[in-house]
Amino acid sequence: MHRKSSLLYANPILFSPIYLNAENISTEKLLALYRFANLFFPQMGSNLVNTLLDMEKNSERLTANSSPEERRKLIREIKGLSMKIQCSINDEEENMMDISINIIPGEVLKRVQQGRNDLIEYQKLSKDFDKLISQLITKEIMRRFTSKVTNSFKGFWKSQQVPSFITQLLDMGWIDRNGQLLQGASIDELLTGKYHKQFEQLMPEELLQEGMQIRETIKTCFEISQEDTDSLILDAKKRHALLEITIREANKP
Amino acid sequence: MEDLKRLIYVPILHAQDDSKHKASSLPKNQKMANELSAIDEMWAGIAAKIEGLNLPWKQIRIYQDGAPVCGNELTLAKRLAESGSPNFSFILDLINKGATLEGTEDMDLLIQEYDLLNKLLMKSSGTNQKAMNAEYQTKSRELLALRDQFILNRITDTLKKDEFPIVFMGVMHRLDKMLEKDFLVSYVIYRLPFRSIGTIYNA
Repeated sequence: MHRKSSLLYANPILFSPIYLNAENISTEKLLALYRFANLFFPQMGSNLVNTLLDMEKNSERLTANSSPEERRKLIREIKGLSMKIQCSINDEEENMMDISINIIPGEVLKRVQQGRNDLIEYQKLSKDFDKLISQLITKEIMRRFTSKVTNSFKGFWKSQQVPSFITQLLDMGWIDRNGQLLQGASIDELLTGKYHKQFEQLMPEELLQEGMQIRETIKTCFEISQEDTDSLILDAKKRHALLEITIREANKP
Repeated sequence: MEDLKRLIYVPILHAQDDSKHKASSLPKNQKMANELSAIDEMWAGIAAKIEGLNLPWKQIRIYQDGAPVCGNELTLAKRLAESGSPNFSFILDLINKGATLEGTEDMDLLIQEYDLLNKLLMKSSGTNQKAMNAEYQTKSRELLALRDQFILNRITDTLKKDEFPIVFMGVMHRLDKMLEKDFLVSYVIYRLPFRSIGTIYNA
């Protein structure tokens, strides 16, 4: 029986245009991949993806340096054509990341503006895109790393003599009695901060290395600024305004 | 083995002046007009995607970021929609189709968040801004975790057997990962126009 398609029955990942499989992302390889792309496509990597995604989105920011006549001719010639581009990154055949792009070239040409690219605007857009992707990747990678740290902590609870650092973390409210890392815990403080030495003594070398790779990857690839004061304050103002209405209205008798 | 119930998860980006952009007068310049257009476009995109899913609306229960359990959830949604929130306007559309809006957040935690923001904004011109921001971010993360836990409990407690949940949640929440234990999470993501990401992105 044919049933109308519904999200309730569909594969979840089909509805995510950018799909990340965090379990399969090796941070070491991600950094290497980024460096590879930078070596061979120094100015092209993210701009190319940006442009393709923008084409799909029918954005008005695209420009084409061609005469109106030439453009009209090309539109006639490519009428009916569509492009489906599947960008897929695999590690040992395990899928790490997918981006699906669907473009109708004729539609893109109809919308693009006449003229040359605005490079400054282009660079700005590229930075914005990096910020968005970096937050998605950071979130996923950190989640996986946290889970590995938790697994190591769990192991200590099974031993006869629980290390003093573990009990210290328990007292601080950073872990619970199952070794689960709690929200108050700071991975940064463990990896490179105040508790670096104790953490280093207890954790396997490979886990420490992975943690450092994560930091380096994020720093190198995305240059995330956690201290972007302007955007933090701007975001805070927006949220504040929404909450003000919510609290006032919700408390009305 | 019992099949997991499908849950539709919509990661949202809170938009600049989300609560009042429609209530204001005409845009003063083209930049602002572009921002507003991008916000509307984002919500139109999300709406088109969700409406295309052919959902059984009467069996849909909506859980919304920032919507407290307060007894007058519908009135609050109307008020926020009237003030220009495209997010809540869309939710009202879904309610008109038959969906139910559920009070989602703990009011006390939202008030704590409001107080935290107050503190940050009052001291935003101070000299030790870096330390202030770091402190805010730490506390904000802690609060977010508490809110996620409350919302998770809320969903599992209020969802009826024959219902399906739609969850609209800011991208910084980690609720989706917590839900994976009990639900098969399907994402509905609208790809933003890149010109405007910088101005409306509010992770």
